Amino acid sequence: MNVQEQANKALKEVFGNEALIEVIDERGDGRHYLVTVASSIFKGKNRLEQSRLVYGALSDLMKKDHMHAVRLELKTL
Amino acid sequence: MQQITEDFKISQLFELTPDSVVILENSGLKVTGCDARTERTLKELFAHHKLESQKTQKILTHLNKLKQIEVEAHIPSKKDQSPQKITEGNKIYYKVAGLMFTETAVKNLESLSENSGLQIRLSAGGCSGFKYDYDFTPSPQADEKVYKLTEKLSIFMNDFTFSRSYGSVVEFKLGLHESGLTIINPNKKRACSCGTSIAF
Amino acid sequence: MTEEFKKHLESLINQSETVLFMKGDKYLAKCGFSAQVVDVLNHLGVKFTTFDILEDEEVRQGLKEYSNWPTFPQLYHNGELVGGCDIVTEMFQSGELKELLCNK
Repeated sequence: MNVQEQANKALKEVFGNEALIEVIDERGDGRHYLVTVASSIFKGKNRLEQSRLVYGALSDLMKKDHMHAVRLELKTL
Repeated sequence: MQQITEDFKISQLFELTPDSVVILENSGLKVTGCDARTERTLKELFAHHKLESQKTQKILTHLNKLKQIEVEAHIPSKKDQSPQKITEGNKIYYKVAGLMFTETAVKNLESLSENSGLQIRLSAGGCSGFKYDYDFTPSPQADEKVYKLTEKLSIFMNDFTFSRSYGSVVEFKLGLHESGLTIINPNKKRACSCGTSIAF
Repeated sequence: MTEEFKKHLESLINQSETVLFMKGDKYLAKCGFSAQVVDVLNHLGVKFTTFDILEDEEVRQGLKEYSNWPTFPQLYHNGELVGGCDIVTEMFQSGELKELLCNK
């Protein structure tokens, strides 16, 4: 599984199948990613909490520096 | 907003609008790299590539649509002549001649200088259009002003260099490949990876 | 994390009303995301202090743990984490950032 597939899987585990998830290698260098998540789980959570949920799912990948930089675009469904 | 014409030097163009590099290179005109000869005018560049006037007009129109950088005219004043200590979080800078010297830069320059002054001069050339020349020299040139960095070390700089370097950070890097003085202007966009040449 | 180190982090976070922990400093940013936050704050005319986490590995790792936030830049206001580049940019665009940082 490449990084994008791993990230997708990790996010699906946290947000479930009803969430819209996209992991894009923004610069094509395997280091800078744009992660977009649209999920109803974000409802009632402030921006920090929403981001922490996503970072939490990607924590392993980020700690191992497989994802060097992660930009987030999060939406509440 | 300045009107860009064929008589603009390539280096002038970069100074005014760094994004122009992309337009020129996309038109098949090589304007970067160490042999780029950015002191040429656009007219000379177009002629070298034997471009037809229809194409050159198109390029000029495109260039004139780009966002231009307003280069602030910085003129040296009395307060620029002696060092000011600036503390920012966990950093200390010494500001003089409009430049922000890091502590390591000051220390290293002092130990290297041996009673000469440090000349900092901006000239056209290099991979991105302009480059800095530095030299330890006993006295300033006719067009240079003297700025006191420490008791033992002065900076010699002309007004042209001053106005375009204002606000730059001067670091002294110790590394495998990049060793020595680097001047980085955070407001200026393109810099070639070696750090010695900049465009505005 | 020792209590002593925790207090050290807290004193850094509270060194002024608005503190930005970033790569580089306000005079020279060393990463695009950090530069973006500096630009936003400068645009709003906010008074802020920057702390270069590239020069302090202990604080760099410590803050990640203390704030449960894995990345830099990290913007703090009145001792509280506002967010990183994404959140700061979003709040800037919505007007919330100006409201938070500029109005007393």
